[in-house]
Amino acid sequence: MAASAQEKELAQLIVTSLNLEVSADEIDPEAALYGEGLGLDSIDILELSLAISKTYGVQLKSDDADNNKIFSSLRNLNDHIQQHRGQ
Amino acid sequence: MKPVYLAGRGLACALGQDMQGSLDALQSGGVAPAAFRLPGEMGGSFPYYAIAFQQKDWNERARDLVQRVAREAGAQHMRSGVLFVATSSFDIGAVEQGAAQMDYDAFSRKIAAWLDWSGPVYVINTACTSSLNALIAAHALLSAGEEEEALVLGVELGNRLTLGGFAALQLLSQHGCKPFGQHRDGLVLGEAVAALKLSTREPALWQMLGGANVVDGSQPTGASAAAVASMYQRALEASGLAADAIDLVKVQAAGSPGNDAIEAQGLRAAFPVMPHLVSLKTALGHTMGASGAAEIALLTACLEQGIWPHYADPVDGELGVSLAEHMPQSVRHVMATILGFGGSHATVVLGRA
Amino acid sequence: MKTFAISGRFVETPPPADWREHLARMLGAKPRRIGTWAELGLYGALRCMADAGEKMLPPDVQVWLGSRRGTYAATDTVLGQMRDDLPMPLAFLQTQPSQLLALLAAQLQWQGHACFVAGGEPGALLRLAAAQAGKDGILLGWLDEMSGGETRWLRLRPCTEMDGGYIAATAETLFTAQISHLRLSGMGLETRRAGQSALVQE
Repeated sequence: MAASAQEKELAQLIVTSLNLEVSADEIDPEAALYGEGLGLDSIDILELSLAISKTYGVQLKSDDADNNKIFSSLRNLNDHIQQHRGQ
Repeated sequence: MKPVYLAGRGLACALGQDMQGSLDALQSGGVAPAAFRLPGEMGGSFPYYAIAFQQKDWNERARDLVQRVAREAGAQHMRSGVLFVATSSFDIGAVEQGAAQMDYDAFSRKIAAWLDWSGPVYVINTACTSSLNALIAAHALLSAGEEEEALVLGVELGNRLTLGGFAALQLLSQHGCKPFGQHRDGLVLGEAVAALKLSTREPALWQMLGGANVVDGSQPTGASAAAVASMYQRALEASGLAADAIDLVKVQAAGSPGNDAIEAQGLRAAFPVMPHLVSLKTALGHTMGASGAAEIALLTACLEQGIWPHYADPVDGELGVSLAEHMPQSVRHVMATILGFGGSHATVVLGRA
Repeated sequence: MKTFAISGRFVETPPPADWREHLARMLGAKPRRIGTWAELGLYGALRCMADAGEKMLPPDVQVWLGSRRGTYAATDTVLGQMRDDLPMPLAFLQTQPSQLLALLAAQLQWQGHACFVAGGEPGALLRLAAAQAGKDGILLGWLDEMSGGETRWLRLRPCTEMDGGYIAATAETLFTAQISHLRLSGMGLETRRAGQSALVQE
């Protein structure tokens, strides 16, 4: 499934805040963000968490037991943000 | 190699604004940390071991504390010696108030002026291990006979940058400091100004025997077990001791879930028979660049006066290490360790006469 | 008295416009999150090692880094970010000058003693380094990113002195191209020009 408008916006935030070489529309919404796939590491996730908190007002804590699922792909991350937005 | 003695010490910290006040507070159970609020969605209220000295102007407050602590360490008679200032945050608190420019040399001149210092001044910043690296550098100059006296001054005073940065890296606990604890969930930072006077011409109870610092960049914000083990090995070699000669290790054990486990792993690799272990983080918080000097000042005084910190949270059994609940008997050789943020691992070896 | 042979040197004040491309080639990729100050430091350190013919650092070498203005630019950025929120984590890491030491260690897969000295001048940095240096010597750097930038590095190896020819020097001349040896003694810093007489390296 192609990326939604919300997913494209989040992909742009990821590329900009992490200074990635890829362009936002090259990020497969279902590919892994960690390790293989986009190749992010724990420091990137911290950086991204803060960028997301500033942009969407959603808290993402590094000790959250669900992090593997939340950060597993652009799609899952976007779903999590949309569910918790404005809470 | 000339013997290098610990000829004086001074301390201002959350426990108290001088050494005896700090020891008294520790003996009666320590102090509860104050709270520090940080803005933003990921901000909030964090415990913080602040020095209970109310003075709004950062420079005025720092000057008063630095002068007091240096005097307590006996610095007034050594102004032509070498001064090491160890800090991770310089005077950034004053910059935040618009009362200083970011300028290393201006900071160095300011501290020297506060102490009326005429000898050379070196400012060391290796983040959390700054004070221990200053001690190692001072020890090298003194033991070679290049200098006779050095003052190592650790300065870490309130600022938003350090707390904000640690909060952003999600390294801080919102609940409290639990060294090696079952429920540990992060660091609690603290303020300290601490001074250690080193001398080759003034014999004293404690001698600095050596030390080692090992930088390992494999973990950007944490420690590495291999580097911890290598640091102990190098420090033992530098001080001419075997692992079984060490009676007590003052560990970092700042309460970080990952780093405490890595430290325990490194300790087990370095010591076939584990020495007694103690952490001072529940007494002082993690006082960053000042922590090496602050913890050595407090620890040596504790050992002399029979005062010992205590820990509310039981030690995590999975770590395979334990913290001494009471002061061990007949402590002769002590290692004081700080593991830093920024891949720096340092320890200093002290011997009691 | 301590004597060192200069086995590698790299000085650019300021570096040329394409220094970042050069760094990316040495690292195999463009660094994306370490900031200008650390990039400029890595660039100089790796070029100096190349000049010394070293791909790796021996375990007993010590890295000593000094700077007059350090990570001011990164610190200024972070203070701006902090007006009403937490700073960005990577930006905060960039305010810590000693991060460069960890980055260099990681790049070279090296573990050892490294230290940052804030302010002062290169002669003072050399004094501290020489007092602690072991058999593998020193990698000494002086770095600033302001005013066009400067990255100055020396690879120093301890050696046994065989002859004279030393003259008193100032810290400013430490990095000049003609110098082959440095000596620290009660007289202060002295240097010796290349080709004046033979020294035996340890």
